[in-house]
Amino acid sequence: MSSNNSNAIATKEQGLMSVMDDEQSQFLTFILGDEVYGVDILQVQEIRGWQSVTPIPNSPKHIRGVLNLRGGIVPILDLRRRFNMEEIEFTAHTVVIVVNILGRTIGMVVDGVSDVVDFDSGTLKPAPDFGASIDAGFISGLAPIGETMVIVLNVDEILKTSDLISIDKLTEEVMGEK
Amino acid sequence: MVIDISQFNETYLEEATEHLGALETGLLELEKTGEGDLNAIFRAAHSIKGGAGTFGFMKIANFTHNLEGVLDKAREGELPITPPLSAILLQAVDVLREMIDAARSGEEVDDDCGVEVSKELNSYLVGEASDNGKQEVSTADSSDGIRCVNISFKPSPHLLQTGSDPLNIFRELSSLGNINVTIDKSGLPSLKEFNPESLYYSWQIALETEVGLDDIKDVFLFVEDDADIEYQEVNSGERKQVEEILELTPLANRRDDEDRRQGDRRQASTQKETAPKETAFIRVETGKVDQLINLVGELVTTGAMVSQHSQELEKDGNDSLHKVVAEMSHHTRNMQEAIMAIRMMPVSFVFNRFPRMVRDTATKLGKNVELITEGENTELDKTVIERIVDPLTHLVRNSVDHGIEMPDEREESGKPAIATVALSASYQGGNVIIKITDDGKGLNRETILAKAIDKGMANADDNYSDEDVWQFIFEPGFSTAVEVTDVSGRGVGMDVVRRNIQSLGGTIRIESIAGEGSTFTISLPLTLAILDGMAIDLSGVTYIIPILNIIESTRPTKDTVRTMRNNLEVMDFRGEYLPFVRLKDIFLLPSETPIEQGIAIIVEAENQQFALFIDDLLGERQVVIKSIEQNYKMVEGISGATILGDGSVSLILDLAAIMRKATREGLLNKGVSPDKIQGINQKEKVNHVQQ
Repeated sequence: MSSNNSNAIATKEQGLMSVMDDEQSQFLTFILGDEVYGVDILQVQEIRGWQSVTPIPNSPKHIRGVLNLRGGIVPILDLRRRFNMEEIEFTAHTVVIVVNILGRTIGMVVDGVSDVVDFDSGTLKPAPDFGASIDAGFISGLAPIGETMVIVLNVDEILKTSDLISIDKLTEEVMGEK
Repeated sequence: MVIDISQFNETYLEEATEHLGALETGLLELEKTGEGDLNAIFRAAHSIKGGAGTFGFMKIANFTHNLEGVLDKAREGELPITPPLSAILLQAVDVLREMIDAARSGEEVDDDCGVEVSKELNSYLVGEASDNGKQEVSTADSSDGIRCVNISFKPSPHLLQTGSDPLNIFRELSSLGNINVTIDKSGLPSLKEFNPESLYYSWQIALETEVGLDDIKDVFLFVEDDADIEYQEVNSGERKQVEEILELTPLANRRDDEDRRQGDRRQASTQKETAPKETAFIRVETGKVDQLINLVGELVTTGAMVSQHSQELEKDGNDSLHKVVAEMSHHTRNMQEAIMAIRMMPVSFVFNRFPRMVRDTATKLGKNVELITEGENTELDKTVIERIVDPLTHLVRNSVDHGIEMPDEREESGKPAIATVALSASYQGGNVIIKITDDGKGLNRETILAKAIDKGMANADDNYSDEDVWQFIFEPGFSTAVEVTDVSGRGVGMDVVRRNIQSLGGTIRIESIAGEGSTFTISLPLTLAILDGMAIDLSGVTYIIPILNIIESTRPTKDTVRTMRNNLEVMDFRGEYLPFVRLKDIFLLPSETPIEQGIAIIVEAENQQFALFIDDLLGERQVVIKSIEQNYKMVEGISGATILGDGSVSLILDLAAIMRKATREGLLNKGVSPDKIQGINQKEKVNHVQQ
């Protein structure tokens, strides 16, 4: 797992750089309800179909449980529940996006993935405070791609506020980065 | 060829530590029995010095020089090892250890470090030299301090195969003074008979030096068994001749010549010959071994999955696949065991430090104690070894300090003057048992009980069994030592000992008979990576309970489980009332299993027993422990996770945490007559745990 972690850190640094620089970056877009969301492809480790997980007692509702990912124990975050969206039944199309962020491997359940798109990060528009279905803090910005508007997620922020990591660990890690 | 030797520093320091251990063990043995292998002790010191010089640890080299000198005299029988000398030698070992530790952490040693000890050692060297006649031999012909020695060095043909290199000897000799080496190649056979791994040369060495003959002999210490060596002192008249020879052939040229001729051949042969030594032990980073253990753990899990699938296929009448899979899982299991064995270390790594400690402690207290160790070859996981050091040190020190009586007291009670502390290790099932036994005065039931009542831990009206009473000494803040001594009795201690052992998944028990002594028995799991667990079911989810916590399981009935006035439930278990806790209430899970259809597992955590109500038992499993904190946060009541045969994750329960949570949330009342709860069949519990 140690190699995984170092990959994760490298990935993250690259991810931040790609957002900061006016360079081409790629997003993995996925569907949640009626909207299209995007995450930086460099943060994505893999995409897998939904399979049942082991529930963790006394955990928040949006933590579905843990999964065995090649010997590692990976928590699974239900994005619909996290964003207070209406719940749907998981089907064969339901997908888990496994991301590597903050040195951790975490899975996110979404309705389905749609595409990988190139995008010039310079044209990322700040998210308007329009009372969208999700908290504005979770959104890095909006990216017009073709006809659709992709909501680019700030996955770091989502994970930090999802009760996935103990606060002191988080502080430690954030301090360590500086 | 330039080699950066700093890359070998770590290896040297490791080796020096090993030599130091041998040195110390040898000295203690010598002190105890009056005899010992002085040559081995000397060699250990010599190796430390030699290496230190090579790798540039000059402080270590200089300090060891005097130590080596004293040991050399002792080995020649010129200097008897008296108790005060022995004490100084042991102090010197401490100084060296400090220096080596400092070198390892890259710190500078204080300049005055070891100066005192070094001075004392020197006084033995000088003091003896002045009144010892034998010294004359080495100081003969030293009017101007320079002497000439002719050395005839005839190594046996197989010298190279022992890993020795004559060139190193010449190099070392040349550091003592001017040398001239003449090679005798007459032994060289024809090319047909030539064996590249044999040495056919012999040498005549003329050495002009200020050092004594003994120092010259030391250079040949490691080859003297494989060579004919003759030393001949040259008088002043002959010296001129030697000088002439020196001028005739400049040494450097000769050596280059020698290098060229032997170069390739020597390289090939030394590599070949040192290879077996290196394969005997390989130093590997522990991280690599851990990774291997993780990987093989996954392999075993995947193997179980394949086996499950193959069983399903077998239903179609094809069992050839299943047979192969069974064989494969057998191999993977063997492989897992073999890999786990890499992390295993003999307990001697811990035991070895005790002879010294017992000696020092006993001397300080004016007691006479002999330490007996047994089963040093019993192996334990490295992590367990590392974490058992402190608790064991504490227990052994306690035995010497509190357990063993003063000599006059022993005499009065008719015990042998020399007290015994025995340290033993043995296997018992999947556990290692470490026992610390002393023949001292035993635990004092009255004092402990009085103190426990005084501290409010015990109830004066209750009847406690001996075993119950001994448990009190593990309570935090409990210390019965009347005086706080330098050695022990500071109030922290036994509770930390027990906590450390429990954190390793082990247990500790005490047996003690007044006037005859005490035995502390520690039971430890062989490894921390694998856990013997009981799979249970609650609301359709499988959890693992460590077998170590389980006393037994039973099916409760409506009659045995009663609700008390405060809504808490208790269970009548063989006449004792135990708190009855439903796991579903703690994990807030929906489970409507009626009492008579579920299972109550009688568990113990932190010396508190309670009945844990669950839906069903699924059977014993040996599981590989995985961290859930790597990607998630700590979960109260869960100590880790594991992967089951079907690939799904199962959580491992932390019963101590569950008990704390239950107590906090008012689901468990610790006050349910703890005397009765603790009184239950201690023997049976121990038996069960050992199974």
